Amino acid sequence: MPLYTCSSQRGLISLSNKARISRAITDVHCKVTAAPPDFVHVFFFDSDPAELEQSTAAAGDRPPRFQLFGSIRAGRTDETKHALVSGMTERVADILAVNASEVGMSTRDVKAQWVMEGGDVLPEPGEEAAWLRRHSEKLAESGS
Amino acid sequence: MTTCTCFIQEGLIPGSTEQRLAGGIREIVKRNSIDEDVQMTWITIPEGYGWTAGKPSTSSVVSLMTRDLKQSLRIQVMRSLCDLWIEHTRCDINEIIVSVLPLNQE
Repeated sequence: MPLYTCSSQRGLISLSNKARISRAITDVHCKVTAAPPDFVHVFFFDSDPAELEQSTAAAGDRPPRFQLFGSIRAGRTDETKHALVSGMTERVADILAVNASEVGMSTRDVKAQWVMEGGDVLPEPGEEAAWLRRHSEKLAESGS
Repeated sequence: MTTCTCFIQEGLIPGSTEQRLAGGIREIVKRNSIDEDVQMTWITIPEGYGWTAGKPSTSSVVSLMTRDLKQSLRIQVMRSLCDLWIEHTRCDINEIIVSVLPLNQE
């Protein structure tokens, strides 16, 4: 956590651009939140063109061709969320050489206490350093 | 209705192991009196589609959605899911991310 997903029609994002986008999303997340990169997961999905057509018809206009969605820990300020969305949208659009309006993004808050990573319940935002220290000590003691 | 969505990286977990993991998840849910059954969904992330820390990912993400639980029980269930994953996939503890989310997240 965070888990960012990027959905688009098959073939629109090359494997090399997937690599670049994953690094860009990780970079933006870490710069904006000061969280360590090891927490950041980015998964890509090929969306079904039929589903896209349906959503287009429902929306009544053309939706973004690239959809980013971030499950992030609750407790981030609106300002932080805005910086994440604008930073990632801009970087992804730049990598794909498309207009930023082609990239849509939303986030969902997930309470840290609902998630376990590395065998420990996640820290609240801002408490990562102490968590990482305790986690490293625990792994060292267990010989992992 | 309890659901469990598992994101796994292509080629890392064979189908036979998936079945054992699904059985283990159902057993954990039953043993902790959370629900009688679990609706499982497996999503395989193709090679090149999953990234962690900007590098190819070897992580699995297991997301259980169920009724709201006391935090102590939630932690117990999350620990059991981590142990299950390590036992059957031989993954490192840092390669398993587990969440237990309430169905009503308000």
